[in-house]
Amino acid sequence: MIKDFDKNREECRKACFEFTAEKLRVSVNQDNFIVQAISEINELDKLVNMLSRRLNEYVGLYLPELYGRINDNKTFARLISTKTKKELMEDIKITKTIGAEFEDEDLVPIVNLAKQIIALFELRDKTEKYLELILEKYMPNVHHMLGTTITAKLMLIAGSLRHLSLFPASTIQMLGAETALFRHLKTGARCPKYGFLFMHPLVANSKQKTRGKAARMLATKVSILTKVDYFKGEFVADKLLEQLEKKLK
Amino acid sequence: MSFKEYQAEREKSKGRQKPFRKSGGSSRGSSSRGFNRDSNRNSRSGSGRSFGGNSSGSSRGRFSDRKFSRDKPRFDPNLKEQFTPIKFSNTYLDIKRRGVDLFTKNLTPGISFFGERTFHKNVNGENVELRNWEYKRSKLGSAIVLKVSQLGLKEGAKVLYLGASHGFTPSFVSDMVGPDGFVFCLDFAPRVVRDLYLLCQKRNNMAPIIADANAPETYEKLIPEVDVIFMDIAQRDQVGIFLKNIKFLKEGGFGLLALKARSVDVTKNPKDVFKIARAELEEHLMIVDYKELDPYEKDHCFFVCKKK
Repeated sequence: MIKDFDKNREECRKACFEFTAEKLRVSVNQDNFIVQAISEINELDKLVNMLSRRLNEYVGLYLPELYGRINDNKTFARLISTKTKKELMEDIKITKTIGAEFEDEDLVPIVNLAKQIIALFELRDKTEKYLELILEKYMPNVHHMLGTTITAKLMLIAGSLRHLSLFPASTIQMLGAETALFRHLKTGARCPKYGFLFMHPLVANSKQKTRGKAARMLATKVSILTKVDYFKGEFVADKLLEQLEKKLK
Repeated sequence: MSFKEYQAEREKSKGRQKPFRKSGGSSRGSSSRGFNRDSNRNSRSGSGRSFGGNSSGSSRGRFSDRKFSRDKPRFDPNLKEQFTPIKFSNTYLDIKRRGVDLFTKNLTPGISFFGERTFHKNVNGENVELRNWEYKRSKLGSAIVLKVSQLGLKEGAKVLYLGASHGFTPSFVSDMVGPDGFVFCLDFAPRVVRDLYLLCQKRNNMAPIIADANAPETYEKLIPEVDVIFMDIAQRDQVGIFLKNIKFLKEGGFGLLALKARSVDVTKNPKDVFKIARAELEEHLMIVDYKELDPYEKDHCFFVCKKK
């Protein structure tokens, strides 16, 4: 405890600030980058969906025949931003449309919106690449086992690798199926067998009857691997994956 | 209780009130159908509105008034000026017909950190800048509005604030203790300390500390003996952590504890949790005052202790 605080008040205050600043600086690590990146991707997805819907509505005034022909938002935006109305009509093989005639200045916002959507898609791709890179560096074992998407989703829920490595296998198996799990606990409905792990090809491609078992086995392996990654152990994911594949055959 | 059951019960209680309103509530008039509107015209107590989850039909209006009216500042229609400094330093209360407003004298004139209202006012011949303290957001604020008897937050007091978070309440504590006092704001999570750090830079009587309140030895070197310890941490072992930090308190100093019953034990009745906490505190400290913060903070209580 400080004894003569009143005399050197300013110094004591400064000491607190320095102590805190140092700790704040150190507290930032790979976990934060991963969580931020995956959150950004999720938000970009939402944003792109929303804007694409708007673009669809907008184009509906101009060329309603295009509606429903192109399902991919990215190609739709690219078509709108590059081609003129005539070219588009040739593409879908019609000569007359029920859409209104637009003047050039009215077309500008539509094209701008489409360009912006393409830019957002590019941003998403870049972030995804970055995420893959840091995941491979930071948690190579789990990343090898699960792939980028599932690993990132697990990290988003856990918040940090430390936290994730503290989860037991049964928790990892249920992550992403919280609603179903709590419904099961509350009302006695059937228990969920898998959460995010369902996206893994080993689980998704196995037969209906063995899916739950596959998810359980995968979860146990993942639980081991998170611990290996947290303590910066050797690369063992390929061995475990082989074991798993053998068992599931 | 499931949501459906809750709704059904609410519907029931609404139905029960209807005939009562028609026959008895003559002064309420037709406008009383609005939510919480004019519900306390008869009782004349300061704030008849029941905040914080108290929205079920039967507990609003008169009954909720009667329950809490003991602790609430009353509106006096005979007084012209309802704006008064209260017994705590640099703190002012504006008693309105419905509800009250709490203010502190702003230490940093012209700056408000959380978007709160600031304005100049002439109080007893002195022109001061006041900052609105939204007491529903703050456990200390609600305790003050509920007429807590003592706090020890005098001008020039040194305060250790555990669980400072973004620094909303600490900024008002720093207003209360004034430029000669000092507030050490402690929190554990880096994200909130980031905000706290920037706030403290602008206020000369505050300092941030990032540390775990459960391990006092980590920040022992940074703080002197203090006059007041305030703790607002939603942890399971709240009382234990509080007692660990009592060693920083000088003799006769005040320990203020805002206890959240639901983080001690969700299943237990909050009243039982308070009782156990009280017994635990009484072993080491003298309890001066005790308030349940019910309409403002659900299942919270506020202990004012004094070191023997």
